[in-house]
Amino acid sequence: MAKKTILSVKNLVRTYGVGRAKTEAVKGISFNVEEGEFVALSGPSGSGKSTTFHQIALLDNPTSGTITFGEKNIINLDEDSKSDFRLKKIGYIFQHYELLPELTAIENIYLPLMVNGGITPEVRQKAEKILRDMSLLERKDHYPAELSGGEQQRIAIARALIKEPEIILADEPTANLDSLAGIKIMETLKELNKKKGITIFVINHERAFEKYFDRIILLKDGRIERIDKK
Amino acid sequence: MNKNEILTALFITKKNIIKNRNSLLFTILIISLGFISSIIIYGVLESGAKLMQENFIETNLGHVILEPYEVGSKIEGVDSLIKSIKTLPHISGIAKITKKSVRLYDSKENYIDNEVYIVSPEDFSEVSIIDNIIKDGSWLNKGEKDKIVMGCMNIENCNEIKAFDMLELNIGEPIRVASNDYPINTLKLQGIYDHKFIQVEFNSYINEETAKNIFPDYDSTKADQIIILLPERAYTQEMIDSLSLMNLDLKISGWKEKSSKYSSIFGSFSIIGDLSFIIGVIVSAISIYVVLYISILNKKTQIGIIRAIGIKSKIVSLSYLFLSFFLGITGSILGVSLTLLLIKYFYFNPLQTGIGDLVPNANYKIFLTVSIAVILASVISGYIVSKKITKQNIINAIFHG
Repeated sequence: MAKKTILSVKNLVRTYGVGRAKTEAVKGISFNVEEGEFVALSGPSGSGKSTTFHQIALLDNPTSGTITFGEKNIINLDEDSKSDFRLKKIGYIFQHYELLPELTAIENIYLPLMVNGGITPEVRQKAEKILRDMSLLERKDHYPAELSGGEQQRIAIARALIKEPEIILADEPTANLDSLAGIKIMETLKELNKKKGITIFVINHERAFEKYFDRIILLKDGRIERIDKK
Repeated sequence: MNKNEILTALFITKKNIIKNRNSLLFTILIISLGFISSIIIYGVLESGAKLMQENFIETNLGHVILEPYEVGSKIEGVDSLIKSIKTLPHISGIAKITKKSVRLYDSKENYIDNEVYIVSPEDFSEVSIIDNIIKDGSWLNKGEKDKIVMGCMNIENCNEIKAFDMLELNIGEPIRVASNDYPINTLKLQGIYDHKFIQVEFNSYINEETAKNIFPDYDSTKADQIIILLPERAYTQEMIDSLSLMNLDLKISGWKEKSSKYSSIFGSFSIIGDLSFIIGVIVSAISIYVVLYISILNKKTQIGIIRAIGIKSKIVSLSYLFLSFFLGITGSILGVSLTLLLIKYFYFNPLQTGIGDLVPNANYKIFLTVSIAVILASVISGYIVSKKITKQNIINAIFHG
């Protein structure tokens, strides 16, 4: 049975600047991501990987093109609907973790859920369960500055997971980690993909991790050079 | 906005306050300093104006003054008039005054042109503090002839700085009184009074018996003015109204109106006071805006992250609105406390000025006005800044914050 397309990007263009300073970071790329897939977006620096991710997560506005999530073109949503989309549908993991320094590990994790239901005992239990699964429960009351890079990245994953998103977008989640911590992160993501069926879309340029992905979309100079399937 | 969104905004504010308490304390301190500067300068000037008025009231003006409408004419039957006025409530003292312009000479032929007040010593003591501020010698006595009490500004050895024409005199020494209309007479210096406000030190006082001697046409049944002292300023209008009902053919003035020849000084004090207050509030508002702008600008990355995880901009804005409100409230509380402490300090260590000892004057209305202004300025600044920042592109906020 054919898998359902969860994400469809068509003719996506993102241009910065005007006149002579105009730069085309993404030059009309198109691809689909199927439900439950573990896909990588790969390519050299400046190939447009992060720009593409920012457009998909509605963190930035594309110059042209469409991004369809499920059946819906999400490009033209108003600001509040875009926030709702980011809150409910997407779990975004940043390369530099981007945890809130004022919040403890557990607070960083359950903050997205507060908007929908406040801090209930269920929310706390859910956050603690994720932390336990990540072997970070004993670090729950630590502030980000008190955690290692690997721990911070796992907290960032937990923050993305707690929302039970339909897709996780991970922007080079292993880039700032040593190889052992990197493997641990990739194993965690793979496990989430396999056990929970969460669609995971990762920016990766480490060859060692290519074995984890179902597909690799290779970008070069803002265009898709090729798509490798496992 | 629903309850959970408001609670989320409050949660973000709370965490922000807890984790950034040191820098926020600094912000609160800046807000409170703006608060203090708005009040203290205004308070000093207001207090200065009030003190100057008080100086005139307690020496020569009283609270209510009665005088003929026509310049040069006198109040007739003054003693019986005083008797009937005394039946009115709230009168602390009442006295008649007749004024004569004379030239006074010392033995070295130095002279000053002076206004001599003819008073009944006991009655005048009830409306003026002059008898209590005698620096040298003594106040006038009833029946004791040919004595004069002069202000310090007229006597050279009473002043370190010689700024005006003065007489070289000591207590008991003779003073010649000359005038176009009267023969020359000699008086003795009975006392010298000293007031911190030099403006009230230019007059001289003699009693009625002395006046009869040196001004043959002096008639004690007539006077130039009747001065009434009340327990406090607040009774002034009530007294004016009561006197008006007596159908006196006299001009009735309050101390405020009567001190109008000095009103430009009071007016200047008042205008500068009001201006410094308005400028203080505006400067405070601008400082609050700048401090909040810097403070929120430093949180640009965090704001970007919060928005990136799906929390709406309006929740973020609300959290900074709460933060601004918190800063405004705590800044005002600290401002009120520090200002009260400062006023308390000035109460025990008044500012020594040429018009007397000054203690900044601030009432609850001023505190309330400045508090509301500070809180409003904080909330508006917080709202503008957070709106501005949450409108920014999330990627710019996170990666270029």
